[in-house]
Amino acid sequence: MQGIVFDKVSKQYKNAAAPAVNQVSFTVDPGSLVVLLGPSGCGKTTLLKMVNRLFEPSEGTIYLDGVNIRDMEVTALRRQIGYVIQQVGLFPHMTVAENIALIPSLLKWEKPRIQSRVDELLTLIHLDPLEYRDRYPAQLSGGQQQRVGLARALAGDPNVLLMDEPFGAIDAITRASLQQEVMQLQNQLQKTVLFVTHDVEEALLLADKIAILKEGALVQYDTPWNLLTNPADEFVRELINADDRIRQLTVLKAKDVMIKPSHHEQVLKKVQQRTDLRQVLSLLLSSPNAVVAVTDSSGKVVGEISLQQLVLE
Amino acid sequence: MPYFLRYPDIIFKLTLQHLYLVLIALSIALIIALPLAWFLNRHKRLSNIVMGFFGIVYTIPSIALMIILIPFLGLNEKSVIVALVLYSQVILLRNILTGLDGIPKTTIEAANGMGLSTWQIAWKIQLPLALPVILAGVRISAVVVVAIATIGAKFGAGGLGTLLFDGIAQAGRTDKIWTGAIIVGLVAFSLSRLALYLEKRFSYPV
Ligand SMILES: Nc1ncnc2c1ncn2[C@@H]1O[C@H](COP(=O)(O)OP(=O)(O)OP(=O)(O)O)[C@@H](O)[C@H]1O
Ligand SMILES: [Mg+2]
Repeated sequence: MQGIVFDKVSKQYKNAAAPAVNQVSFTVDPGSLVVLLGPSGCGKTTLLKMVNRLFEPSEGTIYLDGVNIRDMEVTALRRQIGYVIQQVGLFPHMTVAENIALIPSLLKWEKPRIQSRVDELLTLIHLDPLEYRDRYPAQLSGGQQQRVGLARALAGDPNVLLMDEPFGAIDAITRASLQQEVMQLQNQLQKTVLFVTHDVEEALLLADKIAILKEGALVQYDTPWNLLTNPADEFVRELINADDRIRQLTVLKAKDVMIKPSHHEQVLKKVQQRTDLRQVLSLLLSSPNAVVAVTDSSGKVVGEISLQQLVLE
Repeated sequence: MPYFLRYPDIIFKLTLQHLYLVLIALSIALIIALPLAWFLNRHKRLSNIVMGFFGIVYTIPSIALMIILIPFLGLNEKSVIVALVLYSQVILLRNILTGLDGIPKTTIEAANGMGLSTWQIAWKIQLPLALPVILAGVRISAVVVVAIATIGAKFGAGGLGTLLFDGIAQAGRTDKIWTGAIIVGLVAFSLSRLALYLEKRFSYPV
């Protein structure tokens, strides 16, 4: 079993009346981005920190690629999991390059490989290596610090990324551009990502699947599309504002609703899998045959959407 | 001719003796204080007890402390060095603890989450982050230790205190007292400048 599997995981803190996480079971498929969503105090951080064993579950088991994480050496486990937190936690006495190089050097990579990795990652997160390599964290803006935090988490080339409200302390405009970058990165790198947020828009935008938590329990685990069209209960419906159709279209993506291609692709306008449905609708309304083709990152047609797919049954 | 020009060799020897006492005492003090403070940082309740103990030690007059130690260690430089080590503990521990406390919890959590071992966190994260504050403690205790080490002359440890006590014992030898006092001052000043330089050298933008 690949990916991350939660099997009846509970966490009871000492002196707490109710468990912070209660009998949670779900699977994060490899290469997918799963968002943990829910109101403050519902156990998102607790659940996340059990994956890299900053906390140990009181009950239940977590498997990483089929292995019980309890059977792994804890520092070895953590070095194959990238970890990004809201407060960033860059080391202020190390330059940007030294921060990023820390894990690779602990993993005993060779010097030249580490150096080229640092530059590669800085380029990936859109910071010019020449300009930023030797800066200290205090000499960066909040958004740039979080970019470096992300680069540092990716440095050892982990398969898994844990992100705890990474953009929670960042202004709206910078946050939007960081969200775009996370989507691009995810298209490119296909990491297995667990992403905590209590920002519903962010969840709908980034998630392949969303796990909705309430008072420690998993209420619903599904794709954004299914959550919006089939909320399990009033709590979910209200939390994700499922009744606002226009808003849904701005956060849902072509791949959420596309069907198998059946038209001659040449004549169709093309959109990407992650193009939002508002743009798709706009294109549909201006195409003569009211069908658009959906392509993957290599340009191959993988699906199509007509107006019908945008209408709820 | 002034005293310090007539007997430069004696003065040189006494200064070296003094520096030896001070540097040995400071090194031992640091070797104890660093791991002790690291441990106390993780055990806050114990920390209050230990700091209370050294706080009391600090209020014992230096001569009295050395006399207390003589039955155990003998009338020699050992008693002097142990007394100096005990005195500097309060300042050093307090500064190291302040330095460690000043590191944001989230920085340590990030380090933990990345898979650094406890030892790696202490060595690569906590020590360098606290270093400027630690060096400030070294600077302050260096001055204190240089001053108190003069009393060592009374206990067979030599050092620049010899000039002071000789000057007091021999009528009309204020020149010895002056020479001793000025050189003690110079030694304290140089050591604190050195520590200040290191403090700057190891600081980082915040
Ligand atoms: N170290 C701890 N010791 C005891 N209780 C804790 C601890 N950490 C969290 N809790 C409690 O567990 C519950 C879940 O907390 P958690 O931090 O997982 O929530 P969260 O969903 O991440 O909230 P937020 O969105 O505010 O970050 C809360 O009731 C909290 O008070
Ligand atoms: Mg949280």
